[in-house]
Amino acid sequence: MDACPSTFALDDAEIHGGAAAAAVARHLETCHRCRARHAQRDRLGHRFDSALAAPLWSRVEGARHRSTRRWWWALAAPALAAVAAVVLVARPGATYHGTKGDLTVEVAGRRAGAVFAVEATTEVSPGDELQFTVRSGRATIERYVVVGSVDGTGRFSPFYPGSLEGASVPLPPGGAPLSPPVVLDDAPGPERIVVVLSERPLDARMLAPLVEARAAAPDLNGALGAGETSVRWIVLGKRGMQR
Amino acid sequence: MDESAVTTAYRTYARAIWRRCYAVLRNEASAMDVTQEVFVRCFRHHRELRTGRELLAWLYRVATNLCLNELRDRQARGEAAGVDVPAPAAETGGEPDALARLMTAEVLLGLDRRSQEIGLFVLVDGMTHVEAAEVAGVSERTVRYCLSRFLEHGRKKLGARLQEEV
Repeated sequence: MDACPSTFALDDAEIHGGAAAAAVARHLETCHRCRARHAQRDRLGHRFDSALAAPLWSRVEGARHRSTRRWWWALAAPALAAVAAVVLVARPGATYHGTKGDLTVEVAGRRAGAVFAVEATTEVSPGDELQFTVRSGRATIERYVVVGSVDGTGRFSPFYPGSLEGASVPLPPGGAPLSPPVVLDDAPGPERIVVVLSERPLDARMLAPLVEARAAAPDLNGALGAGETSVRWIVLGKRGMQR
Repeated sequence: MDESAVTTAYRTYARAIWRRCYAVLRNEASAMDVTQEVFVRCFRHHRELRTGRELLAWLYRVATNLCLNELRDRQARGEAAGVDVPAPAAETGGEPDALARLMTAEVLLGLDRRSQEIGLFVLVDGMTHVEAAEVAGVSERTVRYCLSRFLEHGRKKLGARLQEEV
């Protein structure tokens, strides 16, 4: 091996061994730069093994059981195109509570490959995929968005950002949908979905108790302290797990 | 592949994937978040998971895309100054090497996702075109095309600085 191995080649050699590992070992004997890289990789590897691997696995196990999961819809581009063709504008109705600002939320749903319209009367089910498009008439001011759901147990789970450790995500430019779509699982309903647009990013963990305390209440603005904000609630009935 | 295979995959590959995320994000907590999401996706796709080098390539691809999402979000939050694109893994000389040394989040993120991914794989990770094609799941021709786009974009963004470096 004459050229310096890539990080991928080093990982492959370290994990899978074989002829590639032998070639990397020969290269390291003659390349001072790669020996330094190798030492740095070793230090990071030991740091991970000794302090991070176990807690991270606990987090992975916890996250996979969360009530709501994000889903990698981008892998299904043709299906996305079909969804885009039938996106429904969720108009204010009995379960929609607009507040100040010019905030529009469009919700598209997909179940077992079939797209369906999400309206105020729609009942969602575990496994349904929901895609949100959020638009603001004041997008130059309110540039950040949080979307999440308070389930039937009163617990807030953010969709965007993907966890309570995150903060508001930037509003996608050009009215693009938030990505990836979310997949609902078997947490009890109803799904009280809240959309919060703000001038400055909001910390999801800070937002959670406020949202949980005011689930489906129309006014969060005074409590947020994040400059200009607009809030919308969408309440969807939810069927139980279908087996 | 059943779900227990994800446990095995975690034991085998989590170290490499976290290290890869850390190299891009330069933040231990962010690298943890991304690695967590990578293995949550393993559970979601456990039936389609491959093994060996193919699995490593898939994990690299997913991790890289999630890291790019994180860099994009940081930039949108005005944290671009904190984004520290890693130094290139290998010195190859010439314009690509200079671009890798000068790379900023602005350069990296100012293109379509495929080109961002290929640029990171080749210029920063030091992958050969064959490796980049394997990890990205595209043809070598696509790698060459994306790389030429990346270099052209880098020239526009960096201009004279790039010329001085070469």
